[in-house]
Amino acid sequence: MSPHTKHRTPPSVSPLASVTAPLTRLLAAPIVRTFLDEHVFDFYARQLGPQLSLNRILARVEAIRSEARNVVSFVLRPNRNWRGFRPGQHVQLTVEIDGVRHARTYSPSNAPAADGTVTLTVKRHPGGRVSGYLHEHLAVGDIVELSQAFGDFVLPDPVPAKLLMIAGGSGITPLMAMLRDLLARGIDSDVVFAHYAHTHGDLIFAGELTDLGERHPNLHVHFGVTGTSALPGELSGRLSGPHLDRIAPDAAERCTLACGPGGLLDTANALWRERGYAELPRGEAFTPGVVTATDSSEIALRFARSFKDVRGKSGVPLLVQAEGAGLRPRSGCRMGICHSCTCRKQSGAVKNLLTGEIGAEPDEDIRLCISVPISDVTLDL
Amino acid sequence: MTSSQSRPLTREEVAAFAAEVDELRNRIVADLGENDARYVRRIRDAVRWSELGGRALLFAGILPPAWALGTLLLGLSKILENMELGHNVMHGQYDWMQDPEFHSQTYDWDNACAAPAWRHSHNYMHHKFTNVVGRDRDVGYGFLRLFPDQPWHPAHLLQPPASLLLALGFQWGVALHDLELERVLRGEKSVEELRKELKPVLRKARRQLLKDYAIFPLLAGPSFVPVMAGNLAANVIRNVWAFIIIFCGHFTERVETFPESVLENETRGEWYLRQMKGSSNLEGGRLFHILSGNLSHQIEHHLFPDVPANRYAEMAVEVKRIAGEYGQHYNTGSFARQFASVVKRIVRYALPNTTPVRRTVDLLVERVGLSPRVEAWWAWRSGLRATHQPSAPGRAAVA
Repeated sequence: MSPHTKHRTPPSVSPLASVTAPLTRLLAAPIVRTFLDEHVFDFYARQLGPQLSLNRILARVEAIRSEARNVVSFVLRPNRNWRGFRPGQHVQLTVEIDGVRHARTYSPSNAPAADGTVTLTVKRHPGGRVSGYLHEHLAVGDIVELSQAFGDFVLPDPVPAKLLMIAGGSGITPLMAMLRDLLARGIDSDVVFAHYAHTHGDLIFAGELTDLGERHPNLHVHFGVTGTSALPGELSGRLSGPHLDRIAPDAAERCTLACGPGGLLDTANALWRERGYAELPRGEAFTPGVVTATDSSEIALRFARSFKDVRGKSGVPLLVQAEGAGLRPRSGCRMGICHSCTCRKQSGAVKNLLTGEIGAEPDEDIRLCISVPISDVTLDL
Repeated sequence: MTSSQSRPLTREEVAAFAAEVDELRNRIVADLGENDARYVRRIRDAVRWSELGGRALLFAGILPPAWALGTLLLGLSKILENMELGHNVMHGQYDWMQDPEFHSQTYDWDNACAAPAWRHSHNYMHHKFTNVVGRDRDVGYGFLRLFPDQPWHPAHLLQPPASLLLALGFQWGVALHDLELERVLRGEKSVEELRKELKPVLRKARRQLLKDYAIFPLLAGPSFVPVMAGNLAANVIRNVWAFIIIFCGHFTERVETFPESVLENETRGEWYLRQMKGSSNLEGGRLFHILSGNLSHQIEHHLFPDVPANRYAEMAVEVKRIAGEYGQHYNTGSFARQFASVVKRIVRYALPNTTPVRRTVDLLVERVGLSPRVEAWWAWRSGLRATHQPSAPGRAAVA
């Protein structure tokens, strides 16, 4: 059996689901879709059950548990619109804070389970609006919205016999999902698992990893701390050649998966190149913090939908720059009143020329005519 | 003819005026949050429940009281949906919520006018070029003559009954508005272009027609005829109400129009002033404001088209104060008075600016007397005409 089919067991949600299933099929018919507004449908559906929705993935918070200092896991149970995930993939979580919806991307940390739950493990960032909200306000029974899972940072199929997983900080979540999945499926690949964090208190899943390491002879767990002195047997400081020699002298033969801050991945890649290993680590980095450009500096503009990368200027309205790049986005008044040019900014920071406000959040709608980039920006254009 | 009832401002004063208006806007925008989100959701709730109630009652429409109540409720629902929900959401007033249900790029209203066409003809053409004769096609909707600076044509003699028809079928007028049929007739626009634009308009029209006159009546089975009739009546109620409110927003007595020359190098401050002089407010209670989609605060809507409408009432107090400080006329009045002056405009500018016939009509309107209030106003206006001198660029408020 392919590992994927197993993951896609649709979760059963409520007794109402059996009633709504044929209805949902009827509602999917093109003729019905022409006349049915999904928001209108969802409004009436919500009166019958808080998770009923035509298309949206609404998930109920089933449990909340602390994992490490400033790290909490939320166990979510999505409705039947959820199509499952493969370990290593991400989902976008949307919550509403003071009337504004905010979306953030997280990797589930659990193995895909028969009960259909998704566990998101969230580290609280200083000043982080969403992580702070999740930690302080999200309670069992609340409803949040998820996207379908996406991303191709997944275990190779078939699973290689020898694996090396390197996790930095909260980058452990996709790797933890993969590890749990391997163990749940009874695949006995030889796994070296290295987990780095700033201090011992920041090591997420430390207890469980130690436990698993003791129970599974093929799993070799190593912890590393970068901001404090290491205990005997632990790795001290950031990933390095000596670390690799110690935990995986056979790294060249291993399929390596790494997830953590950009620095960790850069180090790993450099190390692998230096040693001439044939296969570079498969990795995923968090986006580094926003770098604010000065008024006339050059920035990178990416128009995602048109697959176009250009060199842009900070301080010049994005509408002008998009048109300069040969794109013809919808536009109107060019003074910020008509919203014809509203466009989704996928990443980067922009300044609103009318208010001077800075928008640095991912997946934010902006008006191109009055927004100037102040960092590299990716637009859904 | 008269004139701007406002003091001419120096460049510096215009800039200072703009700064005060901007400051007000920024203060409100910075304060947007949960309460505003809750407001728009409550309006949405009211729309949905009144629609459900209205349609359910119409299904029992064989009984006359159920039919009447159902029609009224559905009409009310359509009014709320078009005016306080759809119009405002499609302006981007609630885009900051980042909720697809209330987002200007995805919302489509229960109206024959397709959303993209509306965003072009209304959000862009009308709101940017407000009351600029020749540019803002909402000035007379391409066929009515409402101001003396619009050229007269004998066909305008028919505009009083034509206006009545427009009121009854207002949503269709709005739906066709963006197609600029008059430009096609004049040969300024190709039939090919028209055909291309017609496609989405027809698609939306078909959807609306099928929904109200086929699908719901068919679902009602034996109540087919009452449901169809109720839907028609509800649409007419909404049409007439929208027509009245919208005409009261820009075609009242002391509203000003502008020549195209004002657009050259117009500053943000000048744009604000034009928005204010080209719009008029209606006084009324909270429910009246909600049912008008807060277009009773037309001045604030034109100054801040993308600020949530539930904030206009509090902003109006400030705008009125700022206008007063700069000696600018703030056009507001009772619903009855403002609407009477709109009707008068429709009748009066059906005729050329000055002819013996028009004088006769003037006299007739005066004699018939729409209400004692209008009589009083009439006397006051005559006095105004004697004392005021025209001044550019605001023109032609009163004939």
